[in-house]
Amino acid sequence: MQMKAGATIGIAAAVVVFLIILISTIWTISTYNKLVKLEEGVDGKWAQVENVYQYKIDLIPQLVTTVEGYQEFESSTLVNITALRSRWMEASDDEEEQLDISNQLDTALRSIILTYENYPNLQSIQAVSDLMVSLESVENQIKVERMRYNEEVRDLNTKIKQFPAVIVANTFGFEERSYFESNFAPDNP
Amino acid sequence: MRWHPLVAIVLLLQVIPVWAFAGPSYPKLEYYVTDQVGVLTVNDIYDIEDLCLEVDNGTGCEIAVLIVNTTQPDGIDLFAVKTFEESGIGKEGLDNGLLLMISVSEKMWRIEVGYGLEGILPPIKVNQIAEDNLEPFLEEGNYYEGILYTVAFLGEEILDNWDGPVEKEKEPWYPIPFIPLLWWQLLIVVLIALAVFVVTGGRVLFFAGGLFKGGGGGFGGGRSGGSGARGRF
Repeated sequence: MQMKAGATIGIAAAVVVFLIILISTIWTISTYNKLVKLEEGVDGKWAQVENVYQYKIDLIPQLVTTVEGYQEFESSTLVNITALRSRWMEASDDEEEQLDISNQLDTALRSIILTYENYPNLQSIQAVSDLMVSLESVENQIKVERMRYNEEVRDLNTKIKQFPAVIVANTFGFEERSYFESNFAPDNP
Repeated sequence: MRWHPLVAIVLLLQVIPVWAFAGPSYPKLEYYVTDQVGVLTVNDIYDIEDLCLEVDNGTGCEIAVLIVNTTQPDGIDLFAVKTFEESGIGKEGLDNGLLLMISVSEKMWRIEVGYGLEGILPPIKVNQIAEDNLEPFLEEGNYYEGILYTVAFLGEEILDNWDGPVEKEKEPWYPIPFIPLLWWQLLIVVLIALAVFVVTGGRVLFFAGGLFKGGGGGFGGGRSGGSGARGRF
């Protein structure tokens, strides 16, 4: 009888252990999948940011040819913008470098927009004002995609830091992502 | 008196839907034209909605018009994007929606173009249409004609150039045609009605109104990414 009771306890213990392992495995897998999905969301939104940023880079040659004929725009700014564009394209694999260049580019473009706003005679030139509409739109698109990227990053970072998901995150090497800040904030006209 | 807790719960259930949807501060548009300020008459709205309906029927593209008093503290750009997101203007997956927004007290307009219409309506074209058809009328306070002509021109561009699939809104099927409730929603209403009837001995039967909100209507789940144009008037 004693043997039998011991065996029953043993089986019960084994079942409990088995259940614990099963549940924690299922939980680990589902948490892992959630984190993968969040990471993919972040990557997808980053691709979208790059995409709209590329529109802006593509606008630069057209911008320079259109405005270089008008003396109101400083030629040094235009040369600078062209140089920054080439550097940005060369740095296509280096996100940090691209971010740095994009901030410099934004400062330069800001001065062009300010010039445009300060000279009403420029505003009456169709080609120039069309370009400014395109530029304004692309800036807004970047702002929107950046906001959505940051929202995804916030979701991922929050999940990674939360207990108990933090255990899975640390085990499988999920890392916090950095937010995309920019010093370019176009004002309302 | 013994029934009081149950009555309280039933009454609470009536309040929950309202409370649950009070959260977002951006309007969730249900119709083509939403005038929160009252600068349009009912007939004005019908005229503009006719144009939107024509575009929707012909191409599946959805044009929405929203007039607000102010977009502060967000500013019109963010407000338009968020409203677009909240309402899902355009069909899901095609993103073929467009939002024309006017902020009356700020004297600003913005046209937000869905991803799927960016090719047909690039910012320069949108800006041109608005400068020619919207701004001159808005300056005179003639909202009706400004919006009507702008929607007409935007709609014409879409009708002429849309070459994507023409998708119709998937209307949910309601068991009782004139009551926009699905089977399970109908069941809940009936059950609650019965419960209230039993509890109150048949005295309270005027509560169901709140549940009818948010049935059909609305837009199809399209998205936008900040493309478009804006200006002052």
